[in-house]
Amino acid sequence: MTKKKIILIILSILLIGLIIASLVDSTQNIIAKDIKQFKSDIKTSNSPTGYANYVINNPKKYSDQIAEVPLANIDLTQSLPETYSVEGMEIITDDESLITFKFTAPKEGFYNLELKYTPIIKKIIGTKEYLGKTSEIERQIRIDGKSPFDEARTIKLSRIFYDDFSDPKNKKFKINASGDEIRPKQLEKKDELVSILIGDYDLKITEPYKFYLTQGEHTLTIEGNREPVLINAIKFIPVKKINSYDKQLEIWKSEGKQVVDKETVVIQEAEYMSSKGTPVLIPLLDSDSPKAFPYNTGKNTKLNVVGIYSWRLPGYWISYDIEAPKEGLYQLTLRGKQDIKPSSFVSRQVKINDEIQYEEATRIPLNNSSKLNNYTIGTRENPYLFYLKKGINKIEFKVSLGNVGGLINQTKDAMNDLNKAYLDIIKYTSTSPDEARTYDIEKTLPHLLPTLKETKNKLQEVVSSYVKINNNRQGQVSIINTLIYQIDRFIKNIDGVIFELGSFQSNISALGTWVLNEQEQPFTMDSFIFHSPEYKVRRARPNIFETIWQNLTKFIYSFRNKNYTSGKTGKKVRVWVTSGRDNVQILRRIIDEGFEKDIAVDLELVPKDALLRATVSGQGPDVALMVAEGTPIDFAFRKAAYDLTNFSDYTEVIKEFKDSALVPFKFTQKGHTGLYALPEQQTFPVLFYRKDIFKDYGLTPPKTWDEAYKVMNKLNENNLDFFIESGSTSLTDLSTGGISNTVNSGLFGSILYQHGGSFYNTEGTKSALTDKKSLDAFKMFTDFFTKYRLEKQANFVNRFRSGEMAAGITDYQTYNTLVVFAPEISDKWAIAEVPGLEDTPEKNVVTSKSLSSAIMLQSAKDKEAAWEFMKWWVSSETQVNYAKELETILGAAARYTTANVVALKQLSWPVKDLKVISTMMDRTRGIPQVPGGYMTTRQFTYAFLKVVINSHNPYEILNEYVEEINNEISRKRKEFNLD
Amino acid sequence: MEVIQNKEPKLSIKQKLNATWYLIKQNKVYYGMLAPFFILFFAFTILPVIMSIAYGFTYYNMLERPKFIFFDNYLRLFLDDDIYLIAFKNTLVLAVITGPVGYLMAFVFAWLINELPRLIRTIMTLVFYAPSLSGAAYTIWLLIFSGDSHGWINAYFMKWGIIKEPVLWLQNPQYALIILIIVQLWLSLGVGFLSFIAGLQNVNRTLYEAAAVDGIKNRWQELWFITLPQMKPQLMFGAVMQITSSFGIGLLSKMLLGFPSTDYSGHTLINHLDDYGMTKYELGYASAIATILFLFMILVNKTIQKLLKNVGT
Repeated sequence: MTKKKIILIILSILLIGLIIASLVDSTQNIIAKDIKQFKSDIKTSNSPTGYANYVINNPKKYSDQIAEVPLANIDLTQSLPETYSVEGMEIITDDESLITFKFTAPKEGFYNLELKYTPIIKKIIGTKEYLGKTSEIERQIRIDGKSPFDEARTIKLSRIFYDDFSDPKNKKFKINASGDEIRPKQLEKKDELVSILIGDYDLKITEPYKFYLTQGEHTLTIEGNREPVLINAIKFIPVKKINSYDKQLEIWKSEGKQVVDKETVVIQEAEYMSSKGTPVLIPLLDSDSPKAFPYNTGKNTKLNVVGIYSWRLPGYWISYDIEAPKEGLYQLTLRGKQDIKPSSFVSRQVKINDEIQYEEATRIPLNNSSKLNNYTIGTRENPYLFYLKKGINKIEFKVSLGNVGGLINQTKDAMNDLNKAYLDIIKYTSTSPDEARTYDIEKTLPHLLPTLKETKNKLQEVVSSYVKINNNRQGQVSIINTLIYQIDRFIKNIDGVIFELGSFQSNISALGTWVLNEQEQPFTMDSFIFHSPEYKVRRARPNIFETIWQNLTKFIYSFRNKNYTSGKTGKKVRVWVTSGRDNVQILRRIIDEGFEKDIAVDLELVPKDALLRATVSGQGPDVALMVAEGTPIDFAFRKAAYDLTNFSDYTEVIKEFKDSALVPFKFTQKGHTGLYALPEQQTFPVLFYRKDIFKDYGLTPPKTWDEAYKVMNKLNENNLDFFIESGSTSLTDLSTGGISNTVNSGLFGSILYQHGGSFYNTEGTKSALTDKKSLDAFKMFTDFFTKYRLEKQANFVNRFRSGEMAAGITDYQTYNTLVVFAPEISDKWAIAEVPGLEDTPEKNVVTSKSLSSAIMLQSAKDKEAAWEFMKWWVSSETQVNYAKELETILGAAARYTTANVVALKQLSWPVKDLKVISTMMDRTRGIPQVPGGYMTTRQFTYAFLKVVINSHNPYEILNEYVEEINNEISRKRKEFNLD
Repeated sequence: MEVIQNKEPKLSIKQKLNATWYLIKQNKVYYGMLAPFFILFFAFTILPVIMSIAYGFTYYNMLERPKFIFFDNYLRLFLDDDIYLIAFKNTLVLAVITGPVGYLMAFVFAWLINELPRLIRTIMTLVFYAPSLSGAAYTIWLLIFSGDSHGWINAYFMKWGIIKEPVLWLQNPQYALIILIIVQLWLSLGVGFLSFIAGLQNVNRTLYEAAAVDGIKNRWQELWFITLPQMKPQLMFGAVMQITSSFGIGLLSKMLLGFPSTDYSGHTLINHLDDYGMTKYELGYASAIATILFLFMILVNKTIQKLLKNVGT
């Protein structure tokens, strides 16, 4: 035999082996882990006023009778009648409502609280309008005027959404012009009565709350935090006990319930949901799993899963209606993957027909698996059974924190304590303590040591429990361990704290991030199957040929050019967007659904700087969206932007905007004032402050600058800071923007306008910064950084989070960042109006921070059609739709900062904050754009830095630097023949 | 195919052109093979240079047609633009310091690393090359020089008691150029450095033996008479790269110091060009600046070539 032959034989043996191996069922039923052994010892937060202590501190008595709360029995002394409306037997309450009912408890003991409610989309009763904003409903519950436990202050109620199918009966997704299934629009169910037992929305506590009532008269107060809601009925009912699986199985057996036979099987594709608690859960596309159904070749998009990253937050639920052919006991297999959280598991709660059948079903763990998998629920030897009745069954899956819920609560407690300890320390030593000095920390802060010891114990408990739950994996908790070692060092030598302040703070932040990550429970579900124990579930793992074939087809189809034009005929508009891909997809869908003017829209995603180049080469679009503030006027000077005042109905369109959003797009030329863009987004500054710290020092948010100075001084005494945006940080931002005439001067603009000054004279031919008013404003602004020693540069969000900066004035968009990235301080901060020279609307103005706009190019072919599109796009209806979709898909961090006044009021801001934001929007002034305006930012910043770095006299410096602004303006005016 | 030689030296221009055309036709295979590169090179390198020089004589705002204004741009540039002078000075300072120092540094490090055993050499090469390998590595300096009291330098200097309150390193004109120089030097172990290492590897080992026999006394002589002449191509390549990079500092200043930097303290010619091209839309003027920069680079390049000829003599 030759060498060649031997190699050939070896190769063919290998090949045959491979084929056989791949034909053999490669399914690995990774059965969900044995649940029982993972029950953590820590139940809930051990705050003294928390739920856990509430249960322990009350006698172990259970009532077996019902206490009905009659809705007609309103206690007017503890209610605000103007915040609710009574309609028949029901009560509609608005988002700031306060209503108290009187009721009698027949027996002493624990009760569950059953609430029947209806989420409100829109309802008008008499003169009062109740308008839902699609966010979660939030209420506070008080019994006898007192909150029974901390958790009762935030009771969240879910709303109900469903997919907009093209054929609701057979559940078919809509298909766009190129044959792809499009993500369905999320609709809210109208007049849907929901019945729930009040409990923890996030399922950190898996049982419904138990409320302890003594026999006799009581009051129940319901206060609104968010969203209106219709209350249908309230009842205190006996506590329902949930059995363990073994016990439940015995009960079923004694009732004669049978395990179903081999042929009985119910398969439900996960993408066809019946309803869900949040519009975020849209059907999605998983093109990486060849065995996901329907299979995606890449030719046309077929939505085949739900989840990916969207189904991750506690409380998010999906419900399905499935038809069981037979009554009986079934096994349940989830077909899906958990590929996002490495070496960890996520949990789901399963409810069947609104009932949790046994305790284990409240926290079903699903292991990490990077590929699609079949998860049969239960232990390996003994998969769990679920009972289904014959006919339609409602199956609900809800993200549950399962066993880690208690751990997370405990970690949060520890984190709060540490944050407070850190704040106490820096109040005494400041963030950069003098290392040569001896701080007698133990004497000054006597409570510090006990706190540290206690938190250390808490964290150690967390670590040991977590490691037990998670199969002895230490890596996941390394940050907690680091912190424990650090605290240990502090306990041994408390004065050593001052050497490690920086790392202490960053470790606490890292702990916050850890908590955030742990709370996320992402899971992707392709389908779920109810089946008999003998049934063989379809393979989830592809064999090698399937994988190769899938990748090959995907590769081939990737060359296909997808046509993005809308399917309509007739007129055509070419629209460019310079934003993220997600934004474009949302826009595309909104256009497909809402723009019905018989105009085809060709939507293209382009990089930011493409607009100019394309316009130069004559390849530009008709309309460009999301254009930076300076661009419209820059184009207008050079006759490249079209004047919108040429359309007679433009006055109608701009009614929905404040003048401040229009000023930068207006330009007067030879006696005619043109408007060269329509505003889309507008932001302006607001004051952020830490409620907890302000309370400690008896401070209130300042209304005037005199008050603000007092706040600054008080904070400064305690080594804390106040943040004001200086121009110097903004100068660097310019590097990303490139072209801009926009004046970017931190808070200076606002101070200037408060003094009654302005950047340019009325004709825009000269800088007005040398006026007396402007000079005074400049002096005042630089004083912040010289006299009051505010930080010229700082990462406000981080320092606000740690409390070092207890207040700050910055863009209101920061609100979204704080909500998403600093959940640990969620109830500890608020926003307020920016202080003014005096507390009057005229003296308390600000200048807008950023604007984006839609422009029409001079070269647009069909200007009427383009105008139709622009009008439609900036209208309040479209803006609200777009904003909601954006928030749905990208989360709260993407809350849209619309410039449309009507639209702003319909976004899901909490009422109190919306009030502040709308007030500030009213008080916002726009800065006009002039040719050569970029010089203003530049020279202003140079002058500012000269004063704060080199301590020059502000008056002299500004005068000196303004000259260059005037030179540039006159040079540019000459260039454009404006004089 | 046979290449036909032009034998008659005295011809009119027309005749010359005809002869050239004839020769091209005769040798069309070679021209054909040359074409792909030549077309690309012409379209994307030569043509833009010519266009830029031409635009230098016009007023052009990108959105309207260019207007011919003759030498106005250059007159304004030399006589009426204070900031141009600042930018020119800054560019020169940066080039004069970072150019030669960077070049020497690259060579010295390459030479030292070359002496190391193979494995360590590979690792060290990667370590030194890494900063210029990853495009935006200089952002780390933003953290180091951050004006925030949590910025690294500020934090440590305050801890050690050198400064009392945070310094705005990147905004303060005093420090701008120094910071640029430090970061540019850190980045300068780039392609030139790699080519030096390759060049050092290529030196024929037998020459050292021969030289030892011929009476080389020390490592310096060995370096000067054997190593350097052997790697002239790499030295040349490194020099060209170094010139381009040190005259082309612009993005670095923009990213570190902001654009424009405070009082134009870190403003380079590239920044000036950007300013006119992208902020003020005066492309004609920007082209004039580019032309000046281009000429200047060629001049320096020629000088360096002359200097390098003397190596090893």
